[in-house]
Amino acid sequence: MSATSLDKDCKKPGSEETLKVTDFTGLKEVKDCLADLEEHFREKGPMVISDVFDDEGNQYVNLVQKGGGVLGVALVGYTYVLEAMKIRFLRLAGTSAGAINTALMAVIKQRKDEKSEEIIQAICGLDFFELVDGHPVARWLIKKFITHTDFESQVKRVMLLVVGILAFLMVADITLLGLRTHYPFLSTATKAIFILTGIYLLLVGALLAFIASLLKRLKNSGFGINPGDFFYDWLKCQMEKNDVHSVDDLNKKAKQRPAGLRLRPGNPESLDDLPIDVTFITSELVTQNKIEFPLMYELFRLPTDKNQIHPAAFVRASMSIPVFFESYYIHDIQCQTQQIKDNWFKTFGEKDPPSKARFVDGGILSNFPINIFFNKNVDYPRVPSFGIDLDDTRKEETERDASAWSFPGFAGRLFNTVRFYYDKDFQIKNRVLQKGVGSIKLPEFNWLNFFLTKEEKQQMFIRGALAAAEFLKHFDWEAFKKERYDMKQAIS
Amino acid sequence: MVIDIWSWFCLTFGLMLVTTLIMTEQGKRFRTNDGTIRKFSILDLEFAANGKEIVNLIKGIYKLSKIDAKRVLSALKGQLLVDFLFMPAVYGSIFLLCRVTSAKLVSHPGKEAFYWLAWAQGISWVCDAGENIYLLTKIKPEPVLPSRTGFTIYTVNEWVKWGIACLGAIGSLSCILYFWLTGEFSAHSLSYAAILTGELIFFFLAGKVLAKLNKPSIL
Repeated sequence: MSATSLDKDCKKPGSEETLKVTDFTGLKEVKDCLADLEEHFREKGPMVISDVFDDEGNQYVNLVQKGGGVLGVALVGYTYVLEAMKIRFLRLAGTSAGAINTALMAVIKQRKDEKSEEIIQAICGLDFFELVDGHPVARWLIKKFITHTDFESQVKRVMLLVVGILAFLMVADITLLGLRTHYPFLSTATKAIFILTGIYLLLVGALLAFIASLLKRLKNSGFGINPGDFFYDWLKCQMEKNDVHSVDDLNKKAKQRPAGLRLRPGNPESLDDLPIDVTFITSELVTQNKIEFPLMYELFRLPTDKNQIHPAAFVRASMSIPVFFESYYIHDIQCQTQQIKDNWFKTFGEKDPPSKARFVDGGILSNFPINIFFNKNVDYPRVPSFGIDLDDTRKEETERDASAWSFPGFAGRLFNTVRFYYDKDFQIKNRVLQKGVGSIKLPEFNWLNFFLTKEEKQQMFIRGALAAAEFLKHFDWEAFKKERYDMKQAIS
Repeated sequence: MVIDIWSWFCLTFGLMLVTTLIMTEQGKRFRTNDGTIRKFSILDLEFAANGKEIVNLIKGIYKLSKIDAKRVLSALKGQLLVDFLFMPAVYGSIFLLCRVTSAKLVSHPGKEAFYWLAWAQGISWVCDAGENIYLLTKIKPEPVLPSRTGFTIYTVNEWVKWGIACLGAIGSLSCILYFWLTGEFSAHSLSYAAILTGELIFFFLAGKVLAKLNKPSIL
């Protein structure tokens, strides 16, 4: 990883902040939505969403956040409303963009504190386009493809023009060469056209060589367009700003039990074994496994070398969208030591651990890892597992006319069926957990649009806030508990 | 006059091929470690996307095993030094091609253009030498990250070097092709064409033999 120089606020020196925290929290829609929620619970009675609370009146839940590129801004809107309604989090988990918000929620301040304003502050200081830190030409192409819907046809037109000019020059060369025998005055024009053809071929050749060199770079970088270094440095800076310098620091902070935690009377369970932690999901390609960091970190490093890798790397691994970002590697795994071998065997039944691991976005295996919160030993739930779903399904994508799909459409369906079914299967079998999931509808946003305008960011934040309010109004904790209890009894 | 130029051209062209052979062999040893060990070429340094890329690439060499790093560094420095021999050969060749073209052109603007293009090869030579000196100073375990302005100057230097050289080479070759197709060439110059073809065949065969003999042991 190469270090990007960032100032104390984790911004690139000289970069301007175009948004302020109040540009999000002060939005009329957001304020109205909070006022509406308060009014709702004033009429309906106090909001009860968990059996675990503290002496400040905060209620605690587990929270899983779905991955979805830049749509992650909406996650912040959602958690902002939850926090404003005095909801705090014990177990946190996320994939990709969800892992980013999860990481910030885990490291900023303490569990019982509101963190949304600090997270919004971090986002305000982040120019999303900086995350696209690949070759300038690749950055330009990505920008054009995403922001100009007709860019593909523009490229086609330019290519046709290039071929057309070449054909014209060739025809002109041959024609003038033949004519000059009978019309000597054409000699000068023929020479000029010959030179022009040569220069044109040179330019086309240079362009092709450049494209070839870009493709070679892509191959050399392990088929990733953007190194992701800026993101790593930014998150590392955010973590260090909050005194998280090592994996130990992260674990210490993530596992810290809030003071004055209590269990609501009537709940037969106890608080003794209540887990508090943080999890980032990533996909490891060498052994083809889903990795949960920091829990599974012991697969890659011995306890003595534990702090060799910064915890920002866990999130960097989780958000490595294949091809868009370079894969994240962990090198020099002491795969010959008995301890590492035992860990791999215990976790995955793997007898021959790799010396190098390669990670890509956790979303290709589990984009919504709510299953990690399922505790089969608990009869009666103490806290609900909340989930935030990012739904960017567009109408044309839900087209059910299977025979009308183009090849990319077909390939996309194939890939999505495989990658989503792992999570979907769990949700189908544990429908009760679906009751804790709120969905943010974002059909008009492109999850790879790193060139979001100020208004688009605000709009996403509003959508997140409104989705959270809608969810809270309809969430019935008593019904959730009962259904969860019945489900456990049925399994037993 | 033209025949004299061609004999000089055979010489510079031959020297260019010999130095190319040496530099190609040196280039086969270029490796860097940016997480994974990978090959690179001098063009990756010349056309880096930003200053950080140059620094990372050089730092990566020092991250190789000691023995491999030593081999790569010696090959890289060696190539930059041999390049000083390559420069008079390549820019000299283009200079001569432009002079031939200028001499054969009757129309005044073309004649003038190629005359100046010939002398402009000196600019390319200076740019190339400057670039090599710059890179030689950068080769150390902790190279200094070039400033934005410094990197812009470096990039402009590259484009000027390649632009003038390619314009001279392609422009004059296009004209020479024209003279060839229209039969406007001296029969004496055919012997030089034979020499140049011989040089190219020798270069091709020598390249094959060297490739077989010198399989780089580096991973």
